[in-house]
Amino acid sequence: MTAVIERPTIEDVVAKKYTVADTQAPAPVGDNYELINGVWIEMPGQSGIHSRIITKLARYIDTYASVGKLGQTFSQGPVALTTNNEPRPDVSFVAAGKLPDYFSGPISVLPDLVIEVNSPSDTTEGIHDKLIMYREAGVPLIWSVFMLDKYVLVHRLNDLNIQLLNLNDELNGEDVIPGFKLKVSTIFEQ
Amino acid sequence: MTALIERPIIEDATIKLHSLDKSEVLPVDDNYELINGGLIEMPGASGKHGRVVTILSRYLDTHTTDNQLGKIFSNARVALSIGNEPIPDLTFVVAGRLPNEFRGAIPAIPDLVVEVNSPTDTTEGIHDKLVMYREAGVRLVWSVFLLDEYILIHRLKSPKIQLLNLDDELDGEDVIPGFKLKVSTIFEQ
Repeated sequence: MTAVIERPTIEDVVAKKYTVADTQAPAPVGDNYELINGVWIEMPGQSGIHSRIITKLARYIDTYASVGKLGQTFSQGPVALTTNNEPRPDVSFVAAGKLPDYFSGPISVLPDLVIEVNSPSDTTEGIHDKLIMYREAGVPLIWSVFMLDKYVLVHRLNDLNIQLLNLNDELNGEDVIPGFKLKVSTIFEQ
Repeated sequence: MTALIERPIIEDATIKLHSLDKSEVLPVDDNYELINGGLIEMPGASGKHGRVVTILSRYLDTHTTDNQLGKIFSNARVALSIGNEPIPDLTFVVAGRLPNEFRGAIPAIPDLVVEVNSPTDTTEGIHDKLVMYREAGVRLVWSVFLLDEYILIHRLKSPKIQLLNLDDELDGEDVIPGFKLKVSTIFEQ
């Protein structure tokens, strides 16, 4: 998802201290920034395929969750995860009852599911750092989509084992979105 | 493993084309891979990276030597195809497929390639190498993810990728018969 455009020195970070508390004031310049470990990082522009995958995932999840009143689905909404972390996951899902009907600013509760569609320019370290961030915050379920090789990694909070889903396998909402199932190949079809 | 330093334009690549029989024109030192006609500098390997390669290499070389199955190479240039001379972390070639003596790059398609991905490697860079190995006909590719401690297994005969966690076992399959190694072994320092 992300490319560091400018890594401030420690002094800069301390001096500027962009934290979630400040984020009612907008992130630098536009809405294209994520706060990761205290540093604002610009999100790279998306390819068409990337955008299609997000659109499809959000549509299937939102349709399912709306019908069952299971919760709210967000596309690239800012999530106030911790003091130093305000990522914009490609898709996040918050179970019903945790959020008010109307709220301003970032999503202020812990998402129950986060989906990151990794960009071609994302590094293994960048992907790893975000996973650790979500895990440490306590996100129960993380889907990490690799669009070039067309597979999905499933990370669960209570399990150190990672699961890989190939095209013929099925995404499963497990206890986060009970009953939700979606064949992986569906999200890669254009 | 790699960071793109300069991707020549098509015309440059065609004219210069560092073809397999002209590997002496590769620049300066041995730290460059030729991928899709472009020269790519390999980043310095971290200590953990070096340990993982060493541990895997030791187990693989012991097994393949003891059973006379073939040869393991560390960080050796492979003459894969015109425009492609990667330097995989580990390369295995089945016995009898290499001449007794050869100079320069390994002049055969490897049977197994192991790539230990660096923190700076991008998903695109990793993908491009996989496609390159697949198209060249490498039967088995192990792609090691250092930070999250898992391994992806890519087989030429299957489009499905398999993920191995720490408690799973690497298996030489029909490429290195009898080779088995618990994944956690290679991440123990």
